[in-house]
Amino acid sequence: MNAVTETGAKRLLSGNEAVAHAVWEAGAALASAYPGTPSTEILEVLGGYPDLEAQWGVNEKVALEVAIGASLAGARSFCAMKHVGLNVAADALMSQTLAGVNGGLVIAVADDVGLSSSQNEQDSRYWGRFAHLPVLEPADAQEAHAFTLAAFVLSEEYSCPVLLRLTTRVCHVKTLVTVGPRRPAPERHFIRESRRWVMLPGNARAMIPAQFKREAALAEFAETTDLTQVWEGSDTSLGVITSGPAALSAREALPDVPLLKLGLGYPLPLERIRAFAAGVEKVLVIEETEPLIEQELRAAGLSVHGKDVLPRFGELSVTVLRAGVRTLRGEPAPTPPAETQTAVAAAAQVFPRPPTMCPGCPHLSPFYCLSRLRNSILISGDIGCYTLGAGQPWDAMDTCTCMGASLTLANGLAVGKSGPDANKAVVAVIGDSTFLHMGMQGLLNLVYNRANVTVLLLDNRAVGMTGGQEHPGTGLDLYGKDAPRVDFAALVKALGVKEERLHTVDPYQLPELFKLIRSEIQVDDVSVILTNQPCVLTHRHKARPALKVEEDQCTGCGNCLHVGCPAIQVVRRDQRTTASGAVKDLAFVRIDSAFCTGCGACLGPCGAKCIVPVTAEA
Amino acid sequence: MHRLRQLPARRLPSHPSGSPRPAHHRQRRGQGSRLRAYRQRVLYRLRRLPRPLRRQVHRSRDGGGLRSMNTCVSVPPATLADTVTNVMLCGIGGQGVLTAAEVLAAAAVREGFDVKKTEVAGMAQRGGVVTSHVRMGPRVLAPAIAPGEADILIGFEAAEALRGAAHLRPGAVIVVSDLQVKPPVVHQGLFAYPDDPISALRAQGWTVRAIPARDIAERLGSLRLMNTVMLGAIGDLLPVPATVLRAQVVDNFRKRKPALADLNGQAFDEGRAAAERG
Repeated sequence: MNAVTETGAKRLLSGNEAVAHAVWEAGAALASAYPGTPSTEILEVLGGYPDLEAQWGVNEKVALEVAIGASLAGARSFCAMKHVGLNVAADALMSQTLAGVNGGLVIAVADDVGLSSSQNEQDSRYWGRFAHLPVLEPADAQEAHAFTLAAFVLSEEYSCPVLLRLTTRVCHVKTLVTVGPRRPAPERHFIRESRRWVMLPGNARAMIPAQFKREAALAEFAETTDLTQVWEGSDTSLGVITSGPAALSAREALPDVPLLKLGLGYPLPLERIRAFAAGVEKVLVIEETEPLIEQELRAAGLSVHGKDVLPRFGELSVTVLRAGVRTLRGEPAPTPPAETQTAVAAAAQVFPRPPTMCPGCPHLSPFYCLSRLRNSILISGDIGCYTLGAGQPWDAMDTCTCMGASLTLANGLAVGKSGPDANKAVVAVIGDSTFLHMGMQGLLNLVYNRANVTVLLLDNRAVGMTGGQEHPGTGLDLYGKDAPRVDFAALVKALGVKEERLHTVDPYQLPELFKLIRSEIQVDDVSVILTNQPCVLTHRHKARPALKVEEDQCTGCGNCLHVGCPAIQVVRRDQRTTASGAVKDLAFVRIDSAFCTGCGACLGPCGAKCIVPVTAEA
Repeated sequence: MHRLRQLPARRLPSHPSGSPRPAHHRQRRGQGSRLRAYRQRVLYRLRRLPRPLRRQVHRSRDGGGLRSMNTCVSVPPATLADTVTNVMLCGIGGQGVLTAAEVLAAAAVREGFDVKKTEVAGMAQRGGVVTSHVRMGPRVLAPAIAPGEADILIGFEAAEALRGAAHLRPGAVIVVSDLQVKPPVVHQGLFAYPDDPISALRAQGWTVRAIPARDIAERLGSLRLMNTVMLGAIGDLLPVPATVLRAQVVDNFRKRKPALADLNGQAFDEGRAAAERG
């Protein structure tokens, strides 16, 4: 139990850890989430705290609804997700904003500004405007802690969910945080009031005026709260209005410029902003990422700068801000020092090092098979480690949009394909957790609409990409305790896939897997091929004896390289002229036994059959 | 903050109309007996509620807590230039770069500095590039090191140091492992690995200390010691004394894997010595 600390203890915490600690401190009874970078660690850390229940939800909508339920029952509850997760949860959010809450309900939503690990870059502050909810925007871990505590109080005071908007540079930045002990939450119980909690049109309609009243009251609160601060500065030729970690970068880039830092990012304190703007010559709005404040201030009649000099996407780092302000002031960009110029030029020449699948990853052979069938199939992908199948050497993914979309897009691709693609089969690839998150409905839809799609359900018994978290298909809960485990084969059959079209296969048996995929894509029906080897980064994986290459027997065919296993390395390249006169490139390989897990996926493609277990020679 | 406490319950989105029924219901039906029945039901419900809750339904909720909270980062001083030391660590997923950054940050805290530590490691576990920033000083604001402002670069892999050097300020120091790790895209023949990254760095004009981290770690018995060797190699470049950093490394292991504490201490010393030779 790393959690419980004495009052006033200062600890080096990431924003995620600080939020988790504050959720516990605030006396919350329930925390729910679906893993998603950069928010994942909040719930993982909460799993180490006593006296509250932390749950992985199967998706963000489910997680939010569980949290709403706990709130209505009177408990303080918490829900965390990444930005795209709130799109999934939006249905619940948009209606609960009318009904409000009972126990404090805080929704942490983490924006991946700069897209380190996401399919898009979204500005979650929009949801505050859309759902008429307050948005708190901490700048670092200390604020993340304090704002989370404040968010519970605000939520109860105004009876609405509160959005805690985090970004990667809050979630994953460690700094010193003063933490405290757990305090009991205010005692509340379920209020039986169906006119409030049952969203019938009549009930909901009647609550709309109250929603606007609440928003007006929050705007009044925004004018006085010390969640928002002015940082004085002597250079009044410019004033900065900003929020979140960009405020800290702005202070570092422009130490003498007065700065209005919005802790409560929505609603805006227009009077305070007017007073601030009156004291400076020009106002620059610095916001990650969309020009929300800028547009609202323009609509309110203020003349401000923002995205005219700053980028509309990506992190607003110190460098970016300095450049923007130079543009605003009409100053030329300084010439970088010589060392920097040569270093930047040299760095640009360094090969890319993209993330890749791990040695022994059970996704290697499915993607090897798909890459071999590349010209006869369209491949609809999904969100997870296996999205890396779009990269080298497999190049085996044509589409990937969002969680669960592999199956539904495949449905549309199968109907819409024409011309050179008319005769191509459609394959959908989805992981176990993604299937449970949002894929089941897509499979049901495929079956119902009699689609012709082959589904690869890659079950590695983990939410792999976010670090191997548990889910209903792993047999364990967040605490690592035994939990009922979903039977994927039974589930797939229950959704209508015919028994003879469902195959469970060991992905390490590459030839068998290849034959199966090749035959199933020729069947005009929904087929499901279920793989069954666990993620190599989890405790479930059991490594086998490492393999090695009998180097004197390697013919340099290079077939094993197409598997894409990082443990296979080229030791020598050569060329050979074939009998027909063509020049063939040869790549002689070795296997790094320190990385090899002995999965054997490379045995099938090896032309010379020169890959053997290391133990063979002993 | 005081306003928060003044908000009366009527501002809450409980049922907004003063009447116990929505207006449109009354207009349509308008029957007194129904209204009475409704009132009775509400009263009955209220009576069934436990006592504290009955008060809650009618009264404003106590918003306490917010007022007494120190909610915000303290106002940062206007001038802090040159008081922050920026250390950048770069390598590959799985090399222990993040752990090394963690130890470095903890050592700085131990020495009384304000610290910010961040990384870009979204998909790094999958063999991608890992970059970690550790900033230490009396007060650290921005979460990340701005390009052109890193003072010290620790390269856990030679080509990654070449990539990371673009982030350095003039006069910066590079401590780089001579380890070379070729990624699959190089083995697949799509890209070439640079001929001699360390010489290339020297040619750019930086002060470079090359550390045979792999050899040292192998000699001491485990390749996992490489990141401790690298920490030792920067021991004398930081505002944090090398002894404090060493103590942090050893304590870190003492807690988790006590058997490895002394070995890591030794790796630290060897790294430090190698940097002197460097």
